Amino acid sequence: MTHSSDKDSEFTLFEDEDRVLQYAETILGGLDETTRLIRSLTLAYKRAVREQKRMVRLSDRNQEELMAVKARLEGEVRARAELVEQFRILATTDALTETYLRGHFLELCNHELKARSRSQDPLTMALLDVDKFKEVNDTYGHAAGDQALKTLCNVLKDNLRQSDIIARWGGEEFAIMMPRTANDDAAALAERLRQNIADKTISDGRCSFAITASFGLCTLEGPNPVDSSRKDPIDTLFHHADRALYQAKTNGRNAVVSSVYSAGGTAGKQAAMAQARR
Amino acid sequence: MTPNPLYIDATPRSPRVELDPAVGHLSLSGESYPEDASAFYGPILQNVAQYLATTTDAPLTVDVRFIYFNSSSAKAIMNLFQMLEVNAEKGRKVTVNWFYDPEDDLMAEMGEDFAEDFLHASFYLKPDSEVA
Repeated sequence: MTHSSDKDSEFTLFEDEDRVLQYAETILGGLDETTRLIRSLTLAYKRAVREQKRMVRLSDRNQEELMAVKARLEGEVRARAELVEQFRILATTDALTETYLRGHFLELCNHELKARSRSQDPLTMALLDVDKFKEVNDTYGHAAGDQALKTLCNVLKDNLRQSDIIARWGGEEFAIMMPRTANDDAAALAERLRQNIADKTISDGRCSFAITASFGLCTLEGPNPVDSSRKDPIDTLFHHADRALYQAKTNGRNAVVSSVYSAGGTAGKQAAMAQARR
Repeated sequence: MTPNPLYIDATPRSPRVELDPAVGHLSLSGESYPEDASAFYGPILQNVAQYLATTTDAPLTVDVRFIYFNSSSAKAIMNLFQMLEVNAEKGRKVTVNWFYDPEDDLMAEMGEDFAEDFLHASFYLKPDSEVA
């Protein structure tokens, strides 16, 4: 019993209660600290929530902005594509008659020439010139002259096939390329065109009149022409069509003269269709 | 001891940044969507922190003119503003001017948003048609 005196002095009837109190105080002390911790965590959390809300808002707004930019850019791309299309039309098409311009027409002709090089399908070129067009302009005015050319081209478009290609060759001169068309068929078609043009009444509101046109045709048969003196192989065909047109004019106008070109040389089959159908 | 001044030129993707410790002026202006926002803003925040640590009660004016900033930059701006607010709470006079294009609703809204974080520093919304 050596420690009995020590133990006696510490002895208390409320040992258990004291222990509970001490424990409670320890817990309470910790609670204060926990409360402080929770308080600072709450503050930090509140700020984090605020920041998150802000970031979400910012992201949404940025997305809206991007969508607006995208819509604007798409509009610009569309407008640019339309502009490109307009330029393409301007570069290839005659504004008055809405037929092809000479340059683009020549490209199409040479393309066709290449396409036929193996098949050697007949290819007919027609040149047509409005008869005494200067008189139309002088008599009825230039607006009426323009109207006449428009009407003439509408007649051509209404009567030609989809594979035929029309171009404004010069002032009142037009060219028609007829792929895979034999000379007889082309001549018959040209004759129908000539008739329809002559029958058509042209009216621009103040006056009405009629015009006639002369046609010169040349059908290419057999292999493509090889003529080193000409820049374009197609020129040979135009040269002969032009000669036929000259013949039609000489024959008294409002006429169709057709010819055939075959590789052996110029076979001058210049049909006398003209006079009969004036 | 006065800390070194800081100057960063603007690029198409990052703002011009200038800290002049001699007069107590910080400015940020331009676009902000740097490839690496931490790499861009880290040194700037460090520099400002160093300035605040070495000059205990010198007043600081901050001019901010943003045309655009992305989310990462927004986080960096929030960190900067928090640093300023804490410093203002300790007694430093801190003024923040938020310049923005009057036609830019987003920048106005963001300014109003940031204003809520400042209780001790003075925060001013400044519509300015020269920001564009």
